[in-house]
Amino acid sequence: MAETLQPLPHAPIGMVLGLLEHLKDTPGGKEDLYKLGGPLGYELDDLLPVTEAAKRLGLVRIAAGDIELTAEGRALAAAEEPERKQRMGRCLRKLSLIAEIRRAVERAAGGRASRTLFLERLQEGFSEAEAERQLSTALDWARYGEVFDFDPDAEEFFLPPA
Amino acid sequence: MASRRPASYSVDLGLIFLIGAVVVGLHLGRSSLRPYDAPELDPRPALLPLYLLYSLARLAVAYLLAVGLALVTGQLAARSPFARRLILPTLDVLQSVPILGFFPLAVGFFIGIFHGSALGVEMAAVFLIFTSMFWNLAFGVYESLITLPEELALAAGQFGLRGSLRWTRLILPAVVPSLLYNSLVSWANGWYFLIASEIIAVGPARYTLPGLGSYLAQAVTVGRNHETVLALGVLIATTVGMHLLLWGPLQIWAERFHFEESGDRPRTPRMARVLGRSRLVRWLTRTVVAPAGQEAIAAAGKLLGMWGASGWWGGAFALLLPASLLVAVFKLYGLFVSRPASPELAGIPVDLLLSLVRVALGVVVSAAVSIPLAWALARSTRVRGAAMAVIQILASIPATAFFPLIVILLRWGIGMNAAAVLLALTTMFWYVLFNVAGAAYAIPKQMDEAALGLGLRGRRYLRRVFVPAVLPSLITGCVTAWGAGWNAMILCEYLEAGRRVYQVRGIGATLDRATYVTGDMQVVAASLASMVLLIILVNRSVWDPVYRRVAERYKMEA
Amino acid sequence: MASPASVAAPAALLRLEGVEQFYGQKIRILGPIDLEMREAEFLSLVGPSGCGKSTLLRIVAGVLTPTVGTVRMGGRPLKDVNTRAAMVFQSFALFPWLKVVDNVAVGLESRGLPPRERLKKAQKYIDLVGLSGYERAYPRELSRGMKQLVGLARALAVEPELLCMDEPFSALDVLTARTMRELVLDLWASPVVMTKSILLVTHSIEEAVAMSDRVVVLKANPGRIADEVDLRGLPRPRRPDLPQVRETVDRMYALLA
Ligand SMILES: Nc1ncnc2c1ncn2[C@@H]1O[C@H](COP(=O)(O)OP(=O)(O)OP(=O)(O)O)[C@@H](O)[C@H]1O
Ligand SMILES: [Mg+2]
Repeated sequence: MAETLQPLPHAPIGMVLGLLEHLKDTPGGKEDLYKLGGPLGYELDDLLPVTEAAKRLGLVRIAAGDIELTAEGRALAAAEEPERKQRMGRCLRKLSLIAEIRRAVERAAGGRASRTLFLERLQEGFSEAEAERQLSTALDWARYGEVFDFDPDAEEFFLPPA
Repeated sequence: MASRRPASYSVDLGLIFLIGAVVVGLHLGRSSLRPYDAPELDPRPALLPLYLLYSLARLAVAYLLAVGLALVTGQLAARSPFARRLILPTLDVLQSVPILGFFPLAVGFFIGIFHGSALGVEMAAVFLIFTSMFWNLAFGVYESLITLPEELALAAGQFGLRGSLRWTRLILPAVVPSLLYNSLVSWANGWYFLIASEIIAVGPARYTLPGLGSYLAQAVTVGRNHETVLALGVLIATTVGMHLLLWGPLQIWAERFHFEESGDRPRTPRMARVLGRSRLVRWLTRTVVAPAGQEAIAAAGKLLGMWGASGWWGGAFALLLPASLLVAVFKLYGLFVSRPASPELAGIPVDLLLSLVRVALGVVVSAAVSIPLAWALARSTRVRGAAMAVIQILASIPATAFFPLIVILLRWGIGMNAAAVLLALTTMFWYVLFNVAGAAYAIPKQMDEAALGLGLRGRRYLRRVFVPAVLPSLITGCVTAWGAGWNAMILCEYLEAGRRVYQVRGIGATLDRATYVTGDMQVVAASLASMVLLIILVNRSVWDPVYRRVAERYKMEA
Repeated sequence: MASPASVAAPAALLRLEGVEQFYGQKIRILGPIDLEMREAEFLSLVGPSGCGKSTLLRIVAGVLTPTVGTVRMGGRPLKDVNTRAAMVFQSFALFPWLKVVDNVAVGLESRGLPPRERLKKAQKYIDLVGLSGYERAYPRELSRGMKQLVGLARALAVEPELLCMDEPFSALDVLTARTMRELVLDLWASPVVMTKSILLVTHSIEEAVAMSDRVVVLKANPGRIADEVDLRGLPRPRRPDLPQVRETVDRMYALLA
């Protein structure tokens, strides 16, 4: 089962949004991937998880060393706040780990699913530390898109109130 | 353990006088001490749960008092530089004074107040336990408040948190981890003194409080082995049970109060982390402990906020010190000048020296055993976590529980000298092992690997890597053990067991004889004062400088 | 009593009169400083490290009482914590044990708002900074950028007339800082947000030029006002690559050097 869960790149969702805005303001909407770090004051290594995350979400296209917003990416970057979250929510649900948790929560009686369950499942494919990080990243993203929420006291995922 | 802090000698001196004042004040109370016929405890094992309840109630009352006062004084010390200059040295002395020595006097005082009723004995027991629990809690509160991030404290002020709200939203959550961490130490101390207070007969009159300790004592003196084992079992089961069902879940709950960038704040202890894997413990934490903890914070905040704002008691404290100093000088003058000197006074220096040798021996043996043991524990990766959890639980079993075993050994004819050191070791050893093992576990993996790469193995690894890494903690453990050792001297240089007196020459024995048998207040005051003076002197001239040098030299860069 | 002068010109929101801060008896770290801030002004303080910017901000926020001098807020001398101001901190200064929503509501709680209104208002500002979805998270679960959003929401939630920010973006990565600067400017321009006066402490000249109406330059030992630059003539939005913006930045660097 663990094979079907593709690992998420560890990038804070805020940085992904920042990247989109940067690209939106770049003339031509396209930037050389290897030049991206410089003007932003980053090492490329620090930026890679962010570009990778944006790519996995279908918001950018990376081809021939260039990074470019997709149509969805452009729409999201241009959108105002509630709409942005909704768009991001739709993108997030295409990622296996996030979709999986969302489905588990929807199906669970009482609308709550234990975190331990997913931790144990992820540990089939990752070390304990990496499994923890995967879940934190998934939660960080999912909270932004309001795909699911987490109750740290009960250690359970649940659906955010509509 | 709270780190040792610098304090001025002048305040130390003032405190010694304060202690003198208490001694003499208690003397007045003692004159109204009437013999109190202790009824034999009903030895039926079916009553054990009831006795346990009595003991737990005493501990709980003392603990609540200690936590409350620790919060108030710790917060005051963190807030006001003036109060700080009075409170810190007081705590420093309190933690190094052998509390046991003051116990008979406290009994006399409280019984005097309550005209010989059992309530007075109860109060004395609670007071003794309270003093044993208090100082490290107060230090913990103070330290976590002064290490509070500056901007967080500013934010609390800027957003208008005052009174109760400041307590519930800022201060209490910030001190919870250290409070819990220190509670383990406090309860271990509490059990130790609870049992001590119930086991030892006080003075010419015998006082017996119904409780687990007195039950145990009676079983030993009368020689009922079956009941002795049973009582010991209950005692151990209770301390272990409290760890698993109370402290463990509390510590898991307290994880949320840790700061992320926590440098020297106590981190979640290993025991709690091991326990946290259990579903039952997690469930208990979630459904019972966490809500109860929140309620406790809210309630305590309300209470503290109501009168915490006023500063009158800070002033009262400041007045108390010079006032008691005056009284002390006056009373000591009366005690020593107006009466002929007791002949026993001349023996005190030798007594002191003999006890010093015993305590020092205890420290050396504890260190010598702890280092290789900690090394072995740290090396075996398989048992690491579990071993530390076990050590933590074992350390919480009060050493007084071993008391009956020593008495049995005495009956078998091991010398009283050996027995005294052995009994002292049962307390001292844990402090050292606990600290050293903790440090050993904290040695970074990379350092181990680097040492391996350099070919440092066996004895050379021990000397070049291991000992330097654990040295600061070793010193901390030794200082604590040193303080505990003096208490143990009072407890074990003079024993009454099986209606026989076992004794060996030392300051503890002299003090005990003077309080229990002869009632010579000159000897009591002089032996207590000289012991306190010696302890403080050694702390200042040996432990403080050694600790500072070691900490500077072997500090690990994080 | 309104003086004749205050009829002519609207009273300043904030006024510092001969403010000085000493450390111990003799060491003056700040002042004397005279400074006025208009209603709805975005004012930045720049200056070398250790010149007393944070000290000045804390004096304005009322968490530090100046050794000498008066701070007037809306004409009245400040005696205690400045309840008409709220502060955003460089290290975020969130309560680690409170969930996001409770962190945001902290200032409202101390102002005695009943729980329901507290929640409603906190939610409003959480939504405004784009943090909805994270209400029930503890700060440790958030990235640095999000933490500072909580700090911003917490300050805005008390609906202060003056928002004080002490290097609010310097602990953030560049992408996040950029988004946050834009957010602050959007909120400043938005009719939904009550707070219209902002006092920003920053190390970055680019940041000061991009954001403020006026920049006050401090110099060190003791901290005093060295210069002042009026930027009201510089049109917004001020993209960093615009020639006018570049020129202003260069001019300010020359001032500081
Ligand atoms: N507790 C203190 N004791 C002594 N001096 C202090 C203390 N706090 C601040 N100072 C001094 O006051 C001066 C001003 O400090 P402040 O933090 O206000 O500077 P700053 O401009 O904010 O610096 P930075 O840019 O580094 O944040 C500094 O020179 C500092 O050394
Ligand atoms: Mg500063």
